[in-house]
Amino acid sequence: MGEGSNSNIYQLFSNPPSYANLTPPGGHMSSHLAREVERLKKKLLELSTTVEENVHRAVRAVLDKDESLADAAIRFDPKIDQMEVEVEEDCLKILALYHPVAIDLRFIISVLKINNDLERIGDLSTNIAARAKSLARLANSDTESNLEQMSELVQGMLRDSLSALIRLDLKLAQKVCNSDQAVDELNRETYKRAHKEILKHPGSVKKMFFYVSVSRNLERIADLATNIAEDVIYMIDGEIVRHRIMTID
Amino acid sequence: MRATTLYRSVFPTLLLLALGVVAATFLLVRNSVFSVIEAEYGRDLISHLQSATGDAENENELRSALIDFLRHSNSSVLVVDSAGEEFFRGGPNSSEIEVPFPLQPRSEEFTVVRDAVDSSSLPYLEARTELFSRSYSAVLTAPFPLLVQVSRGLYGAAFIAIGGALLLALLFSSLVIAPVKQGLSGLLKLARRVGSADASSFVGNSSLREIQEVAVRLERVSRDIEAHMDGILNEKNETDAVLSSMAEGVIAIDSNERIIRMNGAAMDVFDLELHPKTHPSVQEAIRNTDFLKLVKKVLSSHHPIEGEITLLQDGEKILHVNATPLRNTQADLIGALLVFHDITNLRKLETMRRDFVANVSHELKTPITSIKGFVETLLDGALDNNEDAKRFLGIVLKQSDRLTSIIDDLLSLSRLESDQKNSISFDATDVGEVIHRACQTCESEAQRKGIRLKIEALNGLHTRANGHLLEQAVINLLSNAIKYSHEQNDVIVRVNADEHEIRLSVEDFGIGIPKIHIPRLFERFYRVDKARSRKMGGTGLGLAITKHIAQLHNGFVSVKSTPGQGSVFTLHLPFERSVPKQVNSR
Repeated sequence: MGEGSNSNIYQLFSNPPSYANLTPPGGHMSSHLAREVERLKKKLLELSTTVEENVHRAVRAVLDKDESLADAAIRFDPKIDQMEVEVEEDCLKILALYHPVAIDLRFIISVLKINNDLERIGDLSTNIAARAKSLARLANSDTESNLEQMSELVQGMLRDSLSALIRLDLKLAQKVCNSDQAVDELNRETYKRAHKEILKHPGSVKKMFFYVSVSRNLERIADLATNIAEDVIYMIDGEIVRHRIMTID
Repeated sequence: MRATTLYRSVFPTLLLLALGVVAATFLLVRNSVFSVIEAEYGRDLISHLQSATGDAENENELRSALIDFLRHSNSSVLVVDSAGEEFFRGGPNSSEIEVPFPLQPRSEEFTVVRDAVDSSSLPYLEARTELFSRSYSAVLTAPFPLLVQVSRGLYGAAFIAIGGALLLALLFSSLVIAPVKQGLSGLLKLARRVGSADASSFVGNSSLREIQEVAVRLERVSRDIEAHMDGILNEKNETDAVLSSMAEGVIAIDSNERIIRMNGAAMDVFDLELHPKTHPSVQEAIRNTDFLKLVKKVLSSHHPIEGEITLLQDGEKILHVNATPLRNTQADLIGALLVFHDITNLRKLETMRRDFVANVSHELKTPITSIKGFVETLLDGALDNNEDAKRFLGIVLKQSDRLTSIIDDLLSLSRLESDQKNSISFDATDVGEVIHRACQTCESEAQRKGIRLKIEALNGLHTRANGHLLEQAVINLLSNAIKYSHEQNDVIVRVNADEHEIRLSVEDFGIGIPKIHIPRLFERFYRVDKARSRKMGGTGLGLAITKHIAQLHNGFVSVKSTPGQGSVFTLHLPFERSVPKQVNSR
């Protein structure tokens, strides 16, 4: 008997834990909806990862004058577009089939908006890659620039804005919004530097134009990342406002 | 089924049992008592009637005897003759007496019929008998107050018995239940502690053997569980220890693409801080499309997969990943295990080796091509033109010098690499003197570009070093500084020291080095700008040699550089103050 009971106990504990019953934050929604939302989250994250990497690739291509890397970044654009379409279709499907309310509805709406922003970021990264190709073909294309610092900042913002969406992290979202100014400042600096450089060496006009364009595109990416963060803040704030109304009642 | 407490289930049963016994006893006693009393009373009545009418000799006398009898008692009488005709009826209730049927009673003597004529009044006893030598039948009724008294007494006794039964039931049930209850609550406490360390010493807490047996069994089960839990915990701790001390990153993922487990190395690689209780999806935690693709592939193909992924965050990292499907005992897929290690350095070494071979052949080939070309031109007739011939031979000489210097550098590098430390002599060396000698060597080169060499050195600083090699290292740094400085600039050589190290730094205000080149600067033949530096005439080995010399002295070389503003190369050597004494004692 001892043996039997022992093995039973062992089996009880050796069963692997199951996470199928975990419901995402949002509470009382049907399990189907929960599953769909979870899938949507994953898809959006995949899209964001792809976009993030593409931005990195494009910036790297500029800094290293790497034409093949720039080509790779350009090649990724159709894939990003396709993923965007998929995410949008999923959103519409969830809206049509499950009629989500409250936080779920706000989540879906935010995803729709963010999806758009991400696709735009993808396009901008392609622009940067195209500039990288032009720069790589130029002789003597080296110049001092703060592009590296700027791109690090922008990519950090992008990553943080997505993390804020997934974790519903208000502080992180606000941090992203606050970083936007720094990027704007760096962009202005690039303009000033280009101005000076062109006055000093008129031959470098073409080169400096490319740099300015890359900087401007990066600044646009930062703006879009800020948009995403603002959407996240709207989402979370919506919830807080609702709670306040309930407590007054 | 709804559970009730032990008391609630036992008490009603006991109560019902006791009440049943009381009721049965009561009925039995009542019936036997009643029949005895009835018989007694009935016989008494009839004997009275017979004795009153026994002397009558004709009907008239009988009638008067009956009237006489009625006068002395409160009974009523109906007498019928053998034909059923009423002969006599008298007494207060005689009108209610019915003619008996059958006319002749079976018994000679009497029949007792207990009958309450009217339920609201007192009960009556009805008796029948024969009179006048069986020619008449008499029915006699009389009030029966005794019955009421007796039954009242009986009912009183029954009530007391019921009360007693209730008390008994209460008493018994609590008597029976108390030990069981105590034992069970002990068992309950024991059961609550099952699996924890203090589930023991129950035995003796209950007087019931059955409960004790259960307790003993429970204690054993508890000990078993505890042992198993300990075992499992130990196993888990061991696994955790093994996982966390692995240099390889390990990530376990369930079939819903959530991260179940992740070791420290994996968190470091992906720059994550994960709480073990939260199980984020891979997409959330790891922002890398190659990695996500690999996860998807292994979960859908059910086969182990190998792959290489490139991480883009701050400085590229190349990971080699082994993805294996995880299966439970029933061979169902429950997730995937991804093990990966950083092969960035391996890759870097590979590129370095490849680049070296390519570079060395290129560097050697360039002067030889040039020499060969000019010699061919000379042979083709340029020898006749004295002027040209001289110029060409000058170039040939220059190229062969270059070749020699490259080969010299390569040789000295390989000697530095192969030489064990003990085959190079280390003596107490005056660092300031080394600097001065190096500056003298480079003086002419500096003057050609109008560069002033400034020395800011502490005097009399001695350390254990090989003076010749150290001088070589400083010369390499100086000649680089001169080469990449703008004309008329300064180059500053500084020596300073603290308790642990001596720093020899060479600072220039030249073109500087872009950040991305700095990690590879000390590789052999690595060039920041390929076209420019060859024109400057370096071999591409200077910094590599300097690095090796620093390493031989247990030191290292560091670089700080800002493009457009200049660079500082610093030789860090360990400061061994005690050296001169050692030399003296020798």
